[in-house]
Amino acid sequence: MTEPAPGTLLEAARALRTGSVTAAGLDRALRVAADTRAADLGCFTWRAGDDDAAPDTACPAEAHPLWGIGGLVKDNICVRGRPTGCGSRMLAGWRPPYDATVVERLVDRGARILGGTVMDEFGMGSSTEHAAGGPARNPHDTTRVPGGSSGGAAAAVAAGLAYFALGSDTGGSVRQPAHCCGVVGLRPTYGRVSRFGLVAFASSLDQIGPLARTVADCALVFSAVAGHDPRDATSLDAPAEGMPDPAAGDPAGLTVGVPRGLVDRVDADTAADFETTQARLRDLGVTLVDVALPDPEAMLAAYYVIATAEASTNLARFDGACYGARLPGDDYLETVGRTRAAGFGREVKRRILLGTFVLSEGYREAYYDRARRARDRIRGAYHRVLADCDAIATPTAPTAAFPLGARLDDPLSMYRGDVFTVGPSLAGLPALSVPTGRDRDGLPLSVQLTGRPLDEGTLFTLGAAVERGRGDPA
Amino acid sequence: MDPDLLRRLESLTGLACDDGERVALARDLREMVRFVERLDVPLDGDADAQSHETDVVPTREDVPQPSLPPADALSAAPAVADGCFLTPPVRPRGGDDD
Repeated sequence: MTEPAPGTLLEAARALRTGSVTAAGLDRALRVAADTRAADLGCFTWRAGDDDAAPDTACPAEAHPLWGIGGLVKDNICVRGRPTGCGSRMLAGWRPPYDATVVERLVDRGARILGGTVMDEFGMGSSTEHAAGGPARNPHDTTRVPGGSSGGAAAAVAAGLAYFALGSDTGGSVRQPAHCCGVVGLRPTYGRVSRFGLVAFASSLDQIGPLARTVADCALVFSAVAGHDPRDATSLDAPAEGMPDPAAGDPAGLTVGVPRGLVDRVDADTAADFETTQARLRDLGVTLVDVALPDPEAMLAAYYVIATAEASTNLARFDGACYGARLPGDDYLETVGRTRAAGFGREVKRRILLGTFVLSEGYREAYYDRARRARDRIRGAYHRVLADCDAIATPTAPTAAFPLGARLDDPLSMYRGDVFTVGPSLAGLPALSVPTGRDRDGLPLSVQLTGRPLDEGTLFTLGAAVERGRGDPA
Repeated sequence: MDPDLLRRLESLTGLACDDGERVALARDLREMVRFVERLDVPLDGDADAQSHETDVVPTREDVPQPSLPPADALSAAPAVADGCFLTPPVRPRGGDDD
């Protein structure tokens, strides 16, 4: 008989250390859970098989807390010899010949990679409906989206099919699905986690970040994967090992900025929940102050110009020549045209075309150059606010998870779901999404906490306080 | 986003769209361009090209490193011949877009 797996990563780590469970036992429990829910949720791209089962050995005394803990990685993070398809027909069946640095770091610490998770194609989407193999579903209501683009990862962690997952976040792709599925998600400071082995979408924005069921679990995974990597030219020399326990941090005395005019941009349940969260923070001794940030819609516009411009260049490499799919034509150009037409989905095509448009002669100055200047101003505005505040709080998204199909034919409506998450991405700042409550339909709602560069620790302290104040798991 | 501009973009991006797809993409792109036109920022001065908002600047030395073994690099190629990537022939074409 298989025992149910302990509820949180830290509980499982303690159970492994005391010997009340073995890594093999944990594997079995997670596998049973996945067998039960995987088809329903559509969240896996591959799963470890019997050949990869954990050995039935005791946890070594000196082992890292991640030893024996099962996690998942998004379909755009390379795992040697495993399918890494980026949710695209273009890379269907592609198996990288190397591991991403984050995978190496997890495995070096004894963590177990139990599978890959479904995503919007090349990270472009907010619902995981733009996945070549079909959408993932929200475990709280399978008629709803799990958010995106790391929707399979968020759904799997929320459903208890793994203790953590690594996603990637360009404009909100870790935080927004974490919000939709009621788990914790971190976008680290730009450069804090190596992207070696992450398939690029928009290189000035992409970051790898963890999803987990608690803030402490998320902090542990973050500290394991963060740190300098010479193989990533944007990697910062800022290790995160040995971060203090978030639960031990006291938020009293911290100052949190709340941007004005948010209520007009969110639904009634989200507004009420955000008010409750602010009251909880005040009760904990946090000072809340009104702050001014640029118009979120302008941030969204700048984001979509910059991200699509970078995507159009990054995805130019998929021409059917060196890897991925190839639909042969009579010559090179015809082969490229046929391969890209069949290999990319509609959302990716939209963004490649828009990105090429904003970079093309005659339009670049009006769009791309303007967006770069807007980004500079946005970064400056965040910098000024964070000179006086320890963090900035907003809802993570304007609404809870929406029904499958509801926004598929309206790209702008889909993009507006990222209205609060693109700002920190443009500014290169860390941001943490923490569940706070539920809406009238029982769907999770969250707060996003944005911090100073390299100050993920303060976000974890505040996030753990929000979590404690919430009481029941979201 | 007129049909000529869309065809020009298709050519630049190597995306061969069919007629039905072209109609839908043109509509979507018109909306997206209208949306990003709300960026009302003066084009004065230059913009910082780097994305880091911290003093811990990455300054990696540009040192050559060994590449993947050729067999590994070729392992996922769509077509291989004689230890090399096999690519379709490149033929010259007429027209402004090629």
